[in-house]
Amino acid sequence: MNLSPVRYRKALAAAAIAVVLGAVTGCHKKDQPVNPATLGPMPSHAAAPTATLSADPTAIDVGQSVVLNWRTQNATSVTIDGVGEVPANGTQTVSPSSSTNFHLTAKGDGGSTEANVRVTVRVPQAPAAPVDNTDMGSEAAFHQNVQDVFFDYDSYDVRPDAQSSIQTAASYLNSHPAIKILIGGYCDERGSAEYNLALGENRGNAAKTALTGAGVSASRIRVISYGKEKQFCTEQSESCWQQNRRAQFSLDR
Amino acid sequence: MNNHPARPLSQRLSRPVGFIFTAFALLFLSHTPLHAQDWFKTETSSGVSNIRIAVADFKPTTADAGTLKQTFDTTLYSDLSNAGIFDIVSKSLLPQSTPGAPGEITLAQWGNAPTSAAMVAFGAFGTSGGRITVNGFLFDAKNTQFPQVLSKQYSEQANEDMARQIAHRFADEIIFRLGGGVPGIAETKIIYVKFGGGNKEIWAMDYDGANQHAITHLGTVSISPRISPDNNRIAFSSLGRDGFQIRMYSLLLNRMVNFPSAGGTNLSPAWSPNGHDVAFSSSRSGDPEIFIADSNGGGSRRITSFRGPDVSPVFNPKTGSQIAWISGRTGLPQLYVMDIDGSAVTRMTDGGYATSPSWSPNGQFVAFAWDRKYGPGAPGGQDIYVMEVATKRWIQLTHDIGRCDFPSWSPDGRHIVFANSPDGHAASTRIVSMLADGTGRRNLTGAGADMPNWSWK
Amino acid sequence: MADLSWNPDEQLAGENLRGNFFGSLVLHAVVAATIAGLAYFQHRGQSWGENISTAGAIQATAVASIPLPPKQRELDTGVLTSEAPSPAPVTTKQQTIEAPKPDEIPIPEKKVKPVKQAPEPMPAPPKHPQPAPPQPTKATTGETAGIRIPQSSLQLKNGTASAMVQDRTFGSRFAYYVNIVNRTVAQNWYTQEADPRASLGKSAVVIFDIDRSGAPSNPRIATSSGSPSLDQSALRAVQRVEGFGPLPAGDHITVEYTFHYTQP
Repeated sequence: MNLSPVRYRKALAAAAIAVVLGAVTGCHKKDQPVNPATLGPMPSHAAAPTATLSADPTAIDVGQSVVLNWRTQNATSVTIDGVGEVPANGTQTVSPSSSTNFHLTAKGDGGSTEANVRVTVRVPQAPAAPVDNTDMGSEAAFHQNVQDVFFDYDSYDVRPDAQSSIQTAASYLNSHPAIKILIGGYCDERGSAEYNLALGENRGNAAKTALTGAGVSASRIRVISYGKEKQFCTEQSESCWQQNRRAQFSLDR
Repeated sequence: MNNHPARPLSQRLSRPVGFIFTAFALLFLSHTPLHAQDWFKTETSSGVSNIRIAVADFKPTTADAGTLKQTFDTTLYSDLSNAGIFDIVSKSLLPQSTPGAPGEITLAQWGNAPTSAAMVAFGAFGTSGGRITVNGFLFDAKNTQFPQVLSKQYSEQANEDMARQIAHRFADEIIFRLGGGVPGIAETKIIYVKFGGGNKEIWAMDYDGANQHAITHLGTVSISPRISPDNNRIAFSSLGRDGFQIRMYSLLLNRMVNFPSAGGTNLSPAWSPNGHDVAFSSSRSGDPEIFIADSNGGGSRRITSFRGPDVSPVFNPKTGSQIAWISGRTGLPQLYVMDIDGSAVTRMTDGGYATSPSWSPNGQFVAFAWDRKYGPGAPGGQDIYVMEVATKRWIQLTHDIGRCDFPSWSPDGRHIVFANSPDGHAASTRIVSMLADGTGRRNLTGAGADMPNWSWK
Repeated sequence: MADLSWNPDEQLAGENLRGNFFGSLVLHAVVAATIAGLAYFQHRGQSWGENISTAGAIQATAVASIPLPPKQRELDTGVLTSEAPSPAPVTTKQQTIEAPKPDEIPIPEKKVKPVKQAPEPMPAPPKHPQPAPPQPTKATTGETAGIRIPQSSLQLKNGTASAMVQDRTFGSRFAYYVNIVNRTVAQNWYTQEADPRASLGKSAVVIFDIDRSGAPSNPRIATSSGSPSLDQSALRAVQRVEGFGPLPAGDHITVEYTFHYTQP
């Protein structure tokens, strides 16, 4: 009498264990594709990745932008130098300040491959004309020569790729000593408002330091941090956030 | 009184935990019974329950009491519910009688099941000659011989606002009497930032979200409002031609008062508990550092000096001798504590992205916003946490409700108000309050409100 | 529940073996489902911090967001109407007319001053011819433990905590205050500080004073439990308390507090 219920319980327990085991192993199977390196048979059906990268247009004036367009196959990780990690297929708008080789690396189970495209930037000859102490220059000329500096995530270090535009800006400013400039420090919308204001201040100051290092007098430069209070772009995407992480130059009248 | 936030948490957790555990033991299943955050629990699980209180609708003593009495009753009920120290008898379990005076109450009705109240709040409400007259009583339902704990009379102008104010005052009396002498918060205010149309202005409201009204009309971006300990002034940071500067608004004069500008970005002011000093972040010397000035802006001195942003200082309100703040000196912003002379710097958080500290009134805890998995590609949630300063133990108070920021303690240390954006967009940010153990969450405003700061009294 | 299906009587009956098994099977399934369900909800509640914390009554509070929920009010007037003579639908006003308000208003007005000066619930006794009679029957209710009115006792997870005020008049008159003292100290008693083995079944009695402002002072062991850790935990419980709130009357009171440790 008593035995039977016990036996039944055992059966129940066994069944439960079986179900649990089944579930667990099931889960593991799902994990497999994620970690192919550890498994023997995988390489057999891993094809080498392919990648194409194009730019439209391939030649621009300073200040204009280019659309990068890339397609990859069999790649698990795709990066573009200067842009960072990107999806397998996609487009992105960039505005290089000088001629740039965009270099894409696609890594997959079957190896890695690369693709390149060169974007030529026509830099107008700096008006290295005689120094005119009253010439404020035109608004357009200012923005063409003095370009915004973009920053990495949670960083206020001027990136190496911004050095050339800093140089351009400094030479323009040095040839127009009447110009006073305002640097606005901006941050993307993530993080805390108060911290971002301090970060924006540091970004503005970093840009200022870079300019003074290139010979521009510090007294001509004013820095205001806007933190994340004034956003250029309000979408929640990395390209948008990148647009907001900047030191923006404007004429200080 | 040192353990408000921790204590209720543990009480509340302890019972169900035991239950789950036995249940699983029966089934011979192995299951670690609890999630990892019963930090405080082991020390405080006393099992003491809240005081069960019945709140009767007040007896109308004049014919036209009508809507004002409704406002009063609702406010009183809501205040006592929100207090966090009571177990309120639900309305459906109340006796069907409306005693208006001590002679009219039959205590047995209230003390026995199903009401089973330990305390009864009741009274009479009338309006005549443009004035409200309220008699409020608090009775100990278990003490038949000397039941009266409290008896109060109020007489004020007859309007909605005063009806609410009287309810707040009576509720605070009850809470003071039954809550171990800690003053209630029903009469406290919350100041905050109201945004829309590109501008941000400073607003104020009652602690329960009622009576929302504008304080400033500056037509620019004003942020980080902090009210002075005497409730007379609001310090905040406002965008002008020279960037963000500390500004000061007098609630006595109802206008802006002078606070000297300085170079750089000046933001996130904080009052010392005696109201004499203001700490803030300033980049007048380049890198944003913490400064302390007197409340008129004079005698400012620099406290920190380390490369990286230093912002959001807050004084220890108990001692006034320590400051908690946020520093990016090691990369991502972390929570730090130091003495007000800049010595004894201690890093409190071990990683992630920590912001917006608020020090509890008893000095024991710091509430702050923390995204523990911050970084590109790992968009963690930003939630409200409370850390015990002495031990660096912490608990997480909000879970999966979107982005949370700017916690601020109520003066009784039993509540925390904070800004919450359910979908992560800045535009949806609203103000929410909760008990200091994370329970009892209530929205105080709709979308368009941010950076709440609870008044000191 | 599951065990019930195997109670001895049924076993004797014997024949109905399959029925019993089937029954037990179903019951097991039900129990498992219930527990799984409960566990799920409980766990969920914990991570939200809301559901468990409070039983029925307060959950309503958590839901009520901003004051002025009109529905509640309708409910209440409904209660009022049903108490009053049912035929009249618009009752509130009629009821107030019935109430002998002219008598009532002046009385509270007299009380204004004493109340504002001090929180003393002084003139209570004369006012209650009504509550007084039921007193003997009520003596057993609630938290007052047995014979002594001025004593308050609380059942805790790991023991019991009882407070007694040496001034008996104070204790009976302001029983609520004694309750608050009891509750506050109990909340600050971290029973984990006591060594379970040495303390089991023992009691420590601590005496302390409460001054006019409600602050405790001078806690000392009156009767040692024999377990030093239990004595310590009892003293610390009192020391942790910053205040109980101002005394309703008098300059100070002396409290005798018993910490009884019953289970680890």
